[in-house]
Amino acid sequence: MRLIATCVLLTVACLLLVLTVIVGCSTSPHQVVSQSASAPAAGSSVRPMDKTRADGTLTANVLNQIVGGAAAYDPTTNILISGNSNNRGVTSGQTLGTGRSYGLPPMIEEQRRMSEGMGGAVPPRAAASDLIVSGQLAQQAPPQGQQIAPPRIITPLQDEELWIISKPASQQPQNVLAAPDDRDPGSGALLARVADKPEQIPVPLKHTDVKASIDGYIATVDVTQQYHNPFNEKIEAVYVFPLPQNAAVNEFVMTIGDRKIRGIIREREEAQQIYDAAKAQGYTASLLTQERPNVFTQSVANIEPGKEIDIDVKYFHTLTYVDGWYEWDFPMVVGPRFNPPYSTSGIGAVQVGGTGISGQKTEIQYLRPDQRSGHDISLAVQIDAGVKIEQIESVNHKIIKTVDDQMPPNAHGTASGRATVVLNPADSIPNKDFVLRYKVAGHTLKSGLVIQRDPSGNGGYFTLMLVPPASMQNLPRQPLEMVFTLDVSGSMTGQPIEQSRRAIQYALAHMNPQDTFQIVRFANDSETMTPNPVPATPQNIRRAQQFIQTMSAGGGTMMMEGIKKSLAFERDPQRLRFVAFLTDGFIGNETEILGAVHDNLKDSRIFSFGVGSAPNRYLLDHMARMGAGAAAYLSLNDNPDEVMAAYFERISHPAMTDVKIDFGLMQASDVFPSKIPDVFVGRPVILTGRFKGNGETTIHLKGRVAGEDRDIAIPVRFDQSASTHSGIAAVWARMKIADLADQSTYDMSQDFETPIKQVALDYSLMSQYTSFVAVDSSHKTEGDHGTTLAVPLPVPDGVRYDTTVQQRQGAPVVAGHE
Amino acid sequence: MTLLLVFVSLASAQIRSDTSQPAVRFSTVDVLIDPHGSDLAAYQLEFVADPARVTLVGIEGGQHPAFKVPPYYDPKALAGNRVILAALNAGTDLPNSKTRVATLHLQIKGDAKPSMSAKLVVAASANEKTIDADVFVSEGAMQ
Repeated sequence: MRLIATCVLLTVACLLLVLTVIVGCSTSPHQVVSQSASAPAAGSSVRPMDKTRADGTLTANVLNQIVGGAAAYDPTTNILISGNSNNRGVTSGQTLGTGRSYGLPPMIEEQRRMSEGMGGAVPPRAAASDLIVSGQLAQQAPPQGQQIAPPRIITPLQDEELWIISKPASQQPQNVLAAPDDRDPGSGALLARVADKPEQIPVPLKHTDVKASIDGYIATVDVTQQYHNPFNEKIEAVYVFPLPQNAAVNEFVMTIGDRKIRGIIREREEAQQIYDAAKAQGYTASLLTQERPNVFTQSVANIEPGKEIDIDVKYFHTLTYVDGWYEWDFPMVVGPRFNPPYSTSGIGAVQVGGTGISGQKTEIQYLRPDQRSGHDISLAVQIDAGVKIEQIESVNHKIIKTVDDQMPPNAHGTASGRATVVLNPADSIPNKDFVLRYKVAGHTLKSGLVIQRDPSGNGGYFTLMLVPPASMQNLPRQPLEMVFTLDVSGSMTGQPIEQSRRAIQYALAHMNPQDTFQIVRFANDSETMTPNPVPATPQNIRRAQQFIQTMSAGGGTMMMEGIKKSLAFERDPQRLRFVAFLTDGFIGNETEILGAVHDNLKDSRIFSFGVGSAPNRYLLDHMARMGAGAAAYLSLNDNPDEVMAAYFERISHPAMTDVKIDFGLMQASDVFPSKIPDVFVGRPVILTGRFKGNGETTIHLKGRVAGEDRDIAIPVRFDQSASTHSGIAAVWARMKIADLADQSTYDMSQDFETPIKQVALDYSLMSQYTSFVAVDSSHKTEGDHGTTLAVPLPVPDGVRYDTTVQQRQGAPVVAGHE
Repeated sequence: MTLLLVFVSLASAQIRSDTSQPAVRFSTVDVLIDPHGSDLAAYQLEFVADPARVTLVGIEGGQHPAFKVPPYYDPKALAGNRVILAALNAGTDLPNSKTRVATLHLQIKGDAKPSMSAKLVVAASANEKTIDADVFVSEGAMQ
């Protein structure tokens, strides 16, 4: 009897639970919100809530309330009010670049300058990709113009790959990534393949368009990501993508139809909360977060079926200049990262549909070699070098070069100082860095200053390119202890390790007899060729060549082991230690590695070589920066001999050390990097800072070269005739953040979060503590927030899928590609 | 019978909890400027609302093509909980009557209607002269 009663109670309880859930679903919070948040009907008359006249006494009073006086400048808000009520908000007339004189508040003047930025034709949107659809999806596919349904699978089965993964938020990585996979019977996503053609994976990111304008050594870049929803249900798109590690991202606009909504910079947690709330309530929203200085996540919520949403991101950054060549890079793909076993804050690399299997905070899904997504990229660069361009090269991509119509092309196909480069549409798969190099007229590069005046008119921001004197090339170097450290982890398999081998072979053949050397390899562990560095004798060099040839790539990237083996052994007092690090940098624990470099460096120099088509430039640049050396890149298309020859040229002459700068009358402050690096032959150093005043002065670059004091005078102008650029303040703020972030990798005693956050908020910049968020509050979409779909990435060109991407247990073995 | 009452009670409790107001809601506010017949080429204004309740989550451009691009905001002011907007158009096709220059997208905490207003710092014509103008804010219409 008791048993029967228990059964009845349990049955009733289950019914109650089910009914309660049904009732809960039928009165979803979203519906309630829709009613409570309803606004006056469209077309209703404007109902003024406040009215302030901009003339007469009333306005003057209001202005006085704003700025606390009849004439005042508020540095916090950039508002400048001068004169009386008949001259409200008007600065003394300034003559600007266009020849027009405006007497407007500084903020408006600033905007005017920004609006006069780059022009040029907008490359057309990509044509619709030719999807090959058959099988179940084809059967489901509605007629043209209609959408397909993203299949829903809620409960994963063991060893089953998923189209969609739906988990409670607490169980998912921060970036919920779910993408379709075609191997799920019954998923509705089965795509039949035509022999020898890659399988097409539908993704919510259709196209990326990049427009860059280079003025001198500063680039202004606009990136537009075109999201769409080809399904018949709402989706959230999540895309992890790279940008240059020194990009000062300071503008974010979401475009829905012909409506543009400017995103707002907020503290990261606040932005995330705003986005989550908007997403939960059905509003279209977008959020940009920074995972690493060169890795970002774009989330776009509530994309309605058939709709398109564009996200525009704008940034400034400085170019590099090496041996007469300027280099502008645009990374197109994040390489698959290795994370140490103890790490959970890294960036996991998983198969499509493998959400959660890496255990990392951020995850990226990668397409198999036989898969393609419809996402492609277009890119156009306008160059105004200011001096004659002699040669233009693209390292990894096919390009189309055009010349200025007004000037006859020179022998290399470029006009005197201007050129336009467009990515060849035949090379539009975003699976490698776009690396553009152009050579300007020889021996014409001089140290130069570019400024941006503060709206207050008193001083402003500057960047200074310090070019080392040519006379340094006449001095011989001292004997060196050369360490070659080679990454032989799985991601280096194939072409990358072959390139590295060739580079080291070249180096071994070009050492001086008085040098000593060591070779270190690392993957899951590390190993040295010999217990201690050995002299560069023919016998030892042959031994090294054999050591290199016997190396095979595989396993994880325990870079910490490589760092310790390369730096943490007894110093040779007779020789300066130069460590050449050859790696793709595909690791997720960059902060830890940079901290280890700092702690173990002592008086060594690190020269990092980024190997492959999409190396981790943030890690490599900052290892070199922290190691008082320089970074170089060895693409799969580069000649390793040439890259290593440039390195030997660099280290064959003494650098200028103990560098100090006297800025003269500029009264410079907040100069970054705060520790001025050594100046090597052929490698200018770019500094940025703030200045006061107005005029001209002579900057003195002081340091020691080969034991002798040097003082190089650089005359500069920081008056109205100075070279200007509207991105200098952002570049300065970004370099300040980078400097603070570098310090935070080894100095645990200080709070770096607060100052980084403050700079980022003050200058509207992305950082690890700030994010852009944009919400379309005017329109509430129907239903819940829809299904989250990741944008899976191709593995970088030359990287093997099978040695780098974590696959669900039991997943079919997939061959890599090289 | 007791079970039925328990069920009714639980179900109604569920309904009550679902019909309660959310902690936050989203809304828009239109910002309009009337330049009284003068060509409006530039403006700077401050939007005033209780920062504890009203959070700016997006800025949309205006109605007239001259101000279609969303105005810029002053980030330093925003860091200090002030919303200052500015826009400029150096073209010749400019509005000379009341026009929506921006729509502000807001997140609002709490149920009560927050007080919102705008203060015009300056409005200017294409020939760099300040002009007589009024600023209005109005609750935006939901689409």
